[in-house]
Amino acid sequence: MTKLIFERPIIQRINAGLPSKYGMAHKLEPISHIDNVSIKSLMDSYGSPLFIISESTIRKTYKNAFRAFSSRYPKVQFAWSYKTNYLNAVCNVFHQEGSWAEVVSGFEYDKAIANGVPGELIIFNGPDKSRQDLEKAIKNGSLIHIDHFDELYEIISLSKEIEERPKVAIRVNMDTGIYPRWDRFGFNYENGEAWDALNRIMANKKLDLLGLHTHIGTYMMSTDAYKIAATKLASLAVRLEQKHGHVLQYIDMGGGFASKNTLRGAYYPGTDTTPSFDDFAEAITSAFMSSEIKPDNLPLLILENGRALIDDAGYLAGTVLANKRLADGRRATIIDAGVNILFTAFWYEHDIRPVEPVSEQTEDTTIYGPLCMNIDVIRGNVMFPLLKKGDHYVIRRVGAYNNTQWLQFISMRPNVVMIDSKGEPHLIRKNETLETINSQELTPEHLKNFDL
Amino acid sequence: MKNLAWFPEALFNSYAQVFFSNNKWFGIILLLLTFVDFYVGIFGLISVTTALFTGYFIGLYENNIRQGYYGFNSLLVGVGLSIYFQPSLLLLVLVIISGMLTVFLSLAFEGILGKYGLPFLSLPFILVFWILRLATREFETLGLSERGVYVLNELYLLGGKNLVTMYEWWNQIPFHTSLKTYFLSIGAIFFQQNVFSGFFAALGLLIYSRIGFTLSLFGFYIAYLFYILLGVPFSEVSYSYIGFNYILTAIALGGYFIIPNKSSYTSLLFIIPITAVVGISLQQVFNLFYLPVHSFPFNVTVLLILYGLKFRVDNRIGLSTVFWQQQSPEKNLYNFLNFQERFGKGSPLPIYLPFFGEWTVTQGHNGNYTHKDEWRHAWDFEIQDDQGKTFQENGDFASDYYCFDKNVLAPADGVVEALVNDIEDNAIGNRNLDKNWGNTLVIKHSEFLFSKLSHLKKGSILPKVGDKVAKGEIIAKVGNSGNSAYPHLHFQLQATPFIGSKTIDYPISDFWMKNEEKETLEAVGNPPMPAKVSTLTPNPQLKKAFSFVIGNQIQWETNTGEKVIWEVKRDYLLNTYLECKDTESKAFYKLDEGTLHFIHFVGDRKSLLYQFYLAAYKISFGYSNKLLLKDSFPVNMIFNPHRIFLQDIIAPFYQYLKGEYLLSYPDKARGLGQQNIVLNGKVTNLAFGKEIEHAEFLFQIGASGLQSFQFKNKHFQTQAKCTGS
Repeated sequence: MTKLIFERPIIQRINAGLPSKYGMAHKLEPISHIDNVSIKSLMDSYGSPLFIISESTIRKTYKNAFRAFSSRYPKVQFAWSYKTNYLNAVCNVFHQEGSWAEVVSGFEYDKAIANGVPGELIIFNGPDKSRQDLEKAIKNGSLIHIDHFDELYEIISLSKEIEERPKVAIRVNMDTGIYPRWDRFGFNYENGEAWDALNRIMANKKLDLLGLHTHIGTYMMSTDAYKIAATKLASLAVRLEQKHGHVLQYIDMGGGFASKNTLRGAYYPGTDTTPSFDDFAEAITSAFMSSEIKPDNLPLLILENGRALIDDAGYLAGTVLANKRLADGRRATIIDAGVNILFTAFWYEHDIRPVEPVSEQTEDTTIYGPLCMNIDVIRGNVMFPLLKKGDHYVIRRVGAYNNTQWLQFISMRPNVVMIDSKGEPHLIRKNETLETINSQELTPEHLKNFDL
Repeated sequence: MKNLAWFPEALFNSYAQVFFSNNKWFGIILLLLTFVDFYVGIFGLISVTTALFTGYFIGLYENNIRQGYYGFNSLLVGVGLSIYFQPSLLLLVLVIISGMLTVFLSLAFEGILGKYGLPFLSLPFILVFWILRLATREFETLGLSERGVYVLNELYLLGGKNLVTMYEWWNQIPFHTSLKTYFLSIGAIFFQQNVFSGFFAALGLLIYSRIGFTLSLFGFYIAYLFYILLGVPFSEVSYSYIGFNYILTAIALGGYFIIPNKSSYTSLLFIIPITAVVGISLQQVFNLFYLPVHSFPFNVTVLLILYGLKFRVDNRIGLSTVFWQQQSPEKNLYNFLNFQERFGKGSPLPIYLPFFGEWTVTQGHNGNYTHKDEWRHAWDFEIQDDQGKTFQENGDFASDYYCFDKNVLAPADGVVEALVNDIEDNAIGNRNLDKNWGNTLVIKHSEFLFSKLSHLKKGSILPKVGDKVAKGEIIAKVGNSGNSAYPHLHFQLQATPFIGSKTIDYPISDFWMKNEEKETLEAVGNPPMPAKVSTLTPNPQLKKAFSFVIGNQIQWETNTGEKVIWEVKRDYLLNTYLECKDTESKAFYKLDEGTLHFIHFVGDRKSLLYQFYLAAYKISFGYSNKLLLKDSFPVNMIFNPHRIFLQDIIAPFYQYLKGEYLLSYPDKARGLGQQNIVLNGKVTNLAFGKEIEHAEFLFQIGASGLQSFQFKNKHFQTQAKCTGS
């Protein structure tokens, strides 16, 4: 018989009769293993806190998403959104699955090249592309998605100096019936700017217009918006063909699919409300299939999903530092991962679970990070089991954005391990040390010494 | 005179066509042989010329004139008449008008028999010949010829003493009686009953076709033995007079209209005696009118057998009738075998997979569950993930299944013939045995070719009965209705328009197949369980480069500075081909959604076009990295004629020569836009499985189409740049 666990005593009102509007109290099932690897053993080897990424989850999610599209539309291509998670190991899993690369800065562009992605399979998005970046992208034959007229003029001026023909598409923004409208990126559809830009490109004989791009927003919970966007882009493609006889090779629908995380303030959990890949795929492909585009000219459909493909694969595991009682009587649990490494805590009600077995007793708890900053709240209030100092927790669905937006602030960024499909853990990013930070710093000679 | 460029070809072919040939040399030999009797030769020539010009002036299809189709019957009439009658002005007039008459009779028979897909053979000749034989009894001035008696005099006049000596020498060679009769019989086909003519005609036959020659001997000896068995006495003369019927029948049914193989040779053992009996019996009838039966028994038997064979369900088994006549038993055979190998059982109308993406065959032909007996030629398709699961979550709901609610596409152009659209989808695990097929769509693609898609989602069928659907159009969604415990798509082809019709064995065209760890591109095939299949999505660049547009020109400049121009053309029978302007060589091709196949080449084998024909023999527009395409050539298209002489003789039974084609695609996919795609490959000639020689080639394809082409073998090192298309 195993030793019973000790939990601190609590006083709880008996909730008899009908459940309240929050439903029945439910127990948070512990998660002790990821891909059959014990989380605790991983933390023993790699420290706490620790990011854990499941390779098989990435591959599975990718295949599900790709199947949803490829079983509905003849030509589909995914491009991995680097900004969502550009750890090289993660990128390469996607590249192995067949993804191209989608980058939004010169740095990301170089990262993709360094990962071995052929230049012509890189999609270069974003408002910030320097003349040098553009020159490199043109010479490599990358697909440049033009964000504004100044960029277009820059490319036109470069095209006079460079032998290679720039391969371009324009980013289009539009009203898809959602708020907020992302009209700061690309050319607007409704006011005719997009059509204007397309005509200017067609008039210039030195640019190859290959496609259209849009990215209607992020964390989209509605598939209708995609349908509207796809319909509008298709109509641009048809007009291009009518007026210029030009057939576009692809339409890039961007990304923005919601993951299964629950947004802060959402009434229902994300697992229940998020549309599936099939829902998104049905909306987008049916819009293209029913458009006026001739069947022979159906463009390649490119998708740049990030979050929806990687969120589920990432876990953040760590240790409870302390428990305390707050002034209003609520419990607070302090854990060793703060918002500096879990940036998404600002957006999501993260699903945080115990690692070790617990009883069904829970208490309304605020979970704080370790930072000496008042904003460092991981969960404002959650019915949480009674973990004690030294117990472990794991936070689910942290694969997107955290490893790219995390900060070295107060403490160091921890190790990241990836569990491969055979269950072998691999360290894919080393934790930072004092040397990492100091190596970047230069102290002027006169400040090197002091005498206290 | 340029307008008459067709004439020599048409003339020689008219002679050669007597033996079904369009071999120029065979034609010339036969033409010379008719001049053994000078007047026979000259009147034959006049008759053919009359016929050819008649055809030319009334504007018949020039290719048919060139092939000699309208000339050979007139030739026989001209030769026949001049054998019987003294040369005179009246005979000249008769030969000319009967030449014309023969053309019109040929057309009449072509019209009547053509409808049944049958050749008119020498029926026009026989009819005209009878007409004239009956009519000329009234013509007093027409004297019967005595020239047969004075052959030697004639020869002397023609070629002096040497010719006479030679002629005598030939006729006195001590051939076995049977062999002598054989030569006489062959000669008798065009009224030259002497060993000299017979021998050279047989030699010409050998040059034209090894199989034809062996068949002529085979047919003759069957008849010879049968006559011995019958005990019917025959003199050399009277026998040889109808003996050629057996030779012609053997060539026609043993290898010309029917693919020469074991079955065709065996069938002759029965057909030749039938011809003999028919011949003997007809002779009795025609004797009443004092008319010769001549080649009538051959005509009757051949037409009868060919017509009868048309009533079979499958024309490709045993006695396979030739569907693309190439005027030579060898060519017919090699092309037939190659066609069978390349396109399997062939599908004149390609049927494609009815969905997007990669699906798994979960029940194939002769399946374990329901594809049995009359419904055995059907497929069930589902979508599987890497673990082989067909659903997510627990699979308790139809919507958990990957294939559920996915678009179903029209497998080919057609018209909706029948549909059911209102049967509830089953809960998982339940079957609706009452309405077995569930929601179903039947599409008519052509006569006797219907496709049926079943177990569709309730209310998802878009077209109505009578609506036209285009290939690839979305027509319905996969459901779970009828005898379906979990969502899947049932797909079958049938010959009748009913829901519940029995299936036919008809293949699917152009698909990728992953089966037993191998990835292949299937031009046509029946995907077995548990193969994963997906439709080809054409690479626009490849498709653009190899999708020849009728009327266009393709221009090349070779490394030797030579400029070559090809034109893309289409002939009378809608065959599409590239024609080289200088050499007039033609490379025939077949182009569909996903593939370019070259199917035939005629002309100069030193031309760039021939090298291109070999290199672009099979090109898939569907692209996959490291794809390897394999194919095989008809032996005669890739080996020198002298090299296949021996192979020809035994070809109906065994083939030891082979020509293999290999094309490899680049290692890496190269994104969009103006990247060059480089395809390279190899053509290998093999004998008994060992390589004799090979050629290597390479294509460079840019955004605007073909850029360059290289071809290298023992004799050639071609590098050509495409300068316009």
